[in-house]
Amino acid sequence: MKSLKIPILILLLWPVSFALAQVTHSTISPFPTSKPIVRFRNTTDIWLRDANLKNPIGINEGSEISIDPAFLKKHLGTEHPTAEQLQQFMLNPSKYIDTETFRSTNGKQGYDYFIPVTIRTANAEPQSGKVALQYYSRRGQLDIIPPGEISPRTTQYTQTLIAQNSIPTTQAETCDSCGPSIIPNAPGNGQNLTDIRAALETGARTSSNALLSRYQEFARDFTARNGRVTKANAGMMKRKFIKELIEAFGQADAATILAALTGFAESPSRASSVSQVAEIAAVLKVIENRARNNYRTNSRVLRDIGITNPNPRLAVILADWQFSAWNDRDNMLPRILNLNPGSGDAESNRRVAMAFEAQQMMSAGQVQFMGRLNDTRLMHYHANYVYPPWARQGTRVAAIVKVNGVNVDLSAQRGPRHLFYSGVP
Amino acid sequence: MYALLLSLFLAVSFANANDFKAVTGIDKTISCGFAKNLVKFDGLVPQYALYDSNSKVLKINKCTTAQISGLTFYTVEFESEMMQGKEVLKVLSIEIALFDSKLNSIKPVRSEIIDQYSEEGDPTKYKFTTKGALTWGKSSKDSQVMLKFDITEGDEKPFSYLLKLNKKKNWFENIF
Repeated sequence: MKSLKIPILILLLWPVSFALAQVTHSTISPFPTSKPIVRFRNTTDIWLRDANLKNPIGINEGSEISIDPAFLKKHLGTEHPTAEQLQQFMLNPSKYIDTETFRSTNGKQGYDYFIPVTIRTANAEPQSGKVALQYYSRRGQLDIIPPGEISPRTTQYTQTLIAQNSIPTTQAETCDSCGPSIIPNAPGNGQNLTDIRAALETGARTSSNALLSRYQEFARDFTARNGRVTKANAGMMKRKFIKELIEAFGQADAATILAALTGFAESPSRASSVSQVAEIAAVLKVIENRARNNYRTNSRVLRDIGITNPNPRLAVILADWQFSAWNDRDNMLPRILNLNPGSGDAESNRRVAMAFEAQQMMSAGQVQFMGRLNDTRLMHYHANYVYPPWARQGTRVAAIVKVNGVNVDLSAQRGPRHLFYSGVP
Repeated sequence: MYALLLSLFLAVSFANANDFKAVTGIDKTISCGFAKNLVKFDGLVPQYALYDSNSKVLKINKCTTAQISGLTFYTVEFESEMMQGKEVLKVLSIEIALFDSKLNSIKPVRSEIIDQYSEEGDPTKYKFTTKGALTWGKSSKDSQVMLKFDITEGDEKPFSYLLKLNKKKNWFENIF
């Protein structure tokens, strides 16, 4: 009997060990392939649905998205398409796949291209389902992130995609004094961008920005004392956060910090550091102009915490219904309040650091606003996928920001864009 | 040492918990109407202008009145539409107003946003998922009028926080 025990034991254990191996494999690597998967990052909050396009799950901006290799193999002939193949697919989906009619409960109807993906978010298991490649309101476009380490070559490849697919501006006012518009890091500009990016990333990592370091410590301590902010308690926690921020930093520095957080929350996500700084700087410019003009300063938040004579920038940033990230029930608010170096959201932390850096660069004259974008009456912007009534009253201006000598045309960026207006009453 | 710390902790907790003393039975539901951003409370002559002058009321869920510490308050829970730069927001709010009988005027003393949604993006999300409820009370320390708000998100446990009428009696401020 003893001689049979071991083989019987192996026979009994074999299916268990095999099952465990399968579970382990699928948890670590959802796709059974040994080559690196090309990843994307969504540039705004999107919905992940099941195979029947039901049961939507909210996915935060900046999450990693991998397209199902079998889908790529079927439509592009390979599980590992080149950048050019992916670019062509993402920009011309109708050539490859059929539309799927998405019928809504309130009668609105949208036609989208749904692709099967796996999404990896911070601190969560990968989730599989379908996402719309282009939403009916034109949000949620995917941007390619460089696979592996950021290098001049991959950054250049990303910028080439932007350059080749920049959407022409329509009816934008001509900017006579803007000079030639250069696409950042087009061939020949690679060295310049590398230096700028390196300087930005070094600045973000070191403690050279003292206010950023102090704020990071404050944010970490706030989370440690109060726990995770949820949608239910976000309104109250925001008030506590702002009150304590003002007590710790004073109103002027608190305004600088909140301006940076607003710049992070409001600006479209860009792969290029230079473009990202330009987008953030434009938001900061609007804040600055509004404060100078005392535009829209009623703030229930400041009133709720007993601040009756606020710093103008503070009042403008926290003014009612102006910068959506500060709305009590906005999805971005818990994200801002939970964000600190220990929160696991490296990408958002990087962009916040970039926002602090952008403020420093603006103060040092390293960021300039060209033509009408430099108008002190410029106090409005909106996303390119909406057309608010007030836009008819203002004048749209060409949106060119010069960052360390490199012109960035905000209206030519791929994906969601901000359009800027001056003269809106 | 630990006993001392424990007693101190309990004392602090007890003090915070007892700062708010609920006053029940003073809330009375009343009928009310609206036009644009003005609310007409039944039995009150002056109309109440909502805190957000740009909001457009779509529906009123409930109106109440309460008298406490010699003051007369009116509350309104309503759904409205708000333009926020780039999008149309649907907003669920509760506002508290204080009626001044000498001046015959009524003004907001707190405007609480309970929930909001945008009609952009996923249409399956076109509904409010958060509820709010308030309880009147007084401070056990100085008898000042207080409010306890309970916010319930979906099926989660309610989250509560406290407000206190300030010394000028023109706003309910957060207590932390």
